Amino acid sequence: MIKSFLEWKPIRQLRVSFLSLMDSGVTCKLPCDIIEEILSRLDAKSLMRCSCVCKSWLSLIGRPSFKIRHLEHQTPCVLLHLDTPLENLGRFSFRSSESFDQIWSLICPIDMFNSSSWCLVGSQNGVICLYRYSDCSVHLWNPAINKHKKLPLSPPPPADSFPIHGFVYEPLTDDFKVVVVASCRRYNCVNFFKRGNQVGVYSFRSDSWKTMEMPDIFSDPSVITHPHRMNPVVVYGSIHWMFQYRRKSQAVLLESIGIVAFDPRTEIFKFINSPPFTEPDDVKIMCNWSGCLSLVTSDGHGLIEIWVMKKYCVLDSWTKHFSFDLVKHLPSAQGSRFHPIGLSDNGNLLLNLMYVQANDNVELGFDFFHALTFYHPKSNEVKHLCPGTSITVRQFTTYVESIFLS
Amino acid sequence: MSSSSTTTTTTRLLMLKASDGVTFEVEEAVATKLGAINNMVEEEGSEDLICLPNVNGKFLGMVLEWCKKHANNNTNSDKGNDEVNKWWDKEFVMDLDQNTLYHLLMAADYLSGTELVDLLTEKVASMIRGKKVEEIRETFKIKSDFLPGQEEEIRKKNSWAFE
Repeated sequence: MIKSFLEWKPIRQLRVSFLSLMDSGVTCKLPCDIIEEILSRLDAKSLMRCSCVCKSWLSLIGRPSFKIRHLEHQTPCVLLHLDTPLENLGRFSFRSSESFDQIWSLICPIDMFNSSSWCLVGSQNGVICLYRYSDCSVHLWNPAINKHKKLPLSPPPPADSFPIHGFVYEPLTDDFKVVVVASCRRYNCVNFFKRGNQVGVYSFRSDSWKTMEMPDIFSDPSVITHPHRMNPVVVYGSIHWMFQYRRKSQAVLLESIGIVAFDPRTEIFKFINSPPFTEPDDVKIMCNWSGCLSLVTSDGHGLIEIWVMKKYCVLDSWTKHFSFDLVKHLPSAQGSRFHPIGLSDNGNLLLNLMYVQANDNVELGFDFFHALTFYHPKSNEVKHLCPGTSITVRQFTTYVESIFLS
Repeated sequence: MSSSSTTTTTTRLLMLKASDGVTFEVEEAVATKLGAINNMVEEEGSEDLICLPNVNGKFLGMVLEWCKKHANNNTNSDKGNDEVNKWWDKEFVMDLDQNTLYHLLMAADYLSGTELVDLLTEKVASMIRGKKVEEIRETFKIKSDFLPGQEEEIRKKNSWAFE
């Protein structure tokens, strides 16, 4: 073994001197790592063309490590699932730069009848996962390279069940995974994440589903759970779902917010407590704040707090990271209701502002208006988006262009 | 060279020697914008002459010109600095012929001038954007090594990208 290593050495030296010879030549070829750096700065469309240049470029562009490097050069955006189609913004969703100064609409390749017939499961490395209610189908879609894949049908959930979905990218195996957790009916209400509930895990690599059973993650089996309407969040490579749960403590019914995590590498479910000092009703959204699990609370009248779990899964590390009164920055919004929608990677907070205006028509009395607003905590800037329109956002997720799924 | 050093702090000078024997005397603050030089200075002190056998004098000179401009611009603390740097960078890469660009890029990469590598790779990337496959091959002096039919197959898979 040692001998063969020694034998290799002169060859490596030869290659180096060959390169330096080219240095002095008139035409010169760039070394592979520089080529990789150059290509990683290109947009998806140019890259698809570059894969036709030669074999080595084709294999480079297909490498997972290159796809990640390319991803890191792209500008993060946000993706919104809108309630109503926006004029000149096309259909039901749009993508926007983080500061909302540039807006693009996405034309979905899947037939969606209206905004309530589908939901956004998540967006990971430029791949968007959608769930369509009408035929219970799950779709993966990369809009940057025009790739769409309808997944094989998941194992049929028990009748009466409302499945919950999650979507995650696993870098170690370069695989996208979709998780479906079925619910069960007990005590006349739908229960989620309870022991024995059916779980399906889809792997893009093997293009197949495997099934397992939900383990017991609650110490008290009589807990009743409801999922939170916001979509799941990926932090630390695990999918997180937020939910409300009720438990009896000395004959008193206690309402709390909890988080369930699923680690796709170990396929283990875990229960994470929310910060003990928050009002469960005030917790509006869960998000990824600089790689940490975080929650945004709102008292509805303008007071917003951002809670961050500094050390993953350590309950004591929940810290109030930010607290601000929006009415101070937007006095005209006094009396409005604020509902946080999402937090972008650079800290912009998107809010739905609902306000009431007296109507001339005496019988109706009041008109309700929605305004999409965003707030940047660092600069204290508050901005109305698409003024004059009354749009509401169903779902929010961050998005980055990529060449994954190619 | 000492135009910006009107302050009382003494500026240390470094000697850099290129592969063809050309030497450059540069302020330490300028040369340490290059990661490789910075490491050498931190490890060995800056007394000695630094030999750079992999960079030719012409390109080392250009790299140092860029470093000097950025070091000078960064000492001024007004806000328009970024704009000035951006404008100057644009001028710097605008008229580079391809061969100079490649050699400069390799020199900057060898000297770990991260910001300059960023600037130059971005320039080369801009030469690819929106170009046809044949034009890209021409730019990079690459010959297609696909088997007959193979390229058509890849094109077909992503036909939208060739429209």
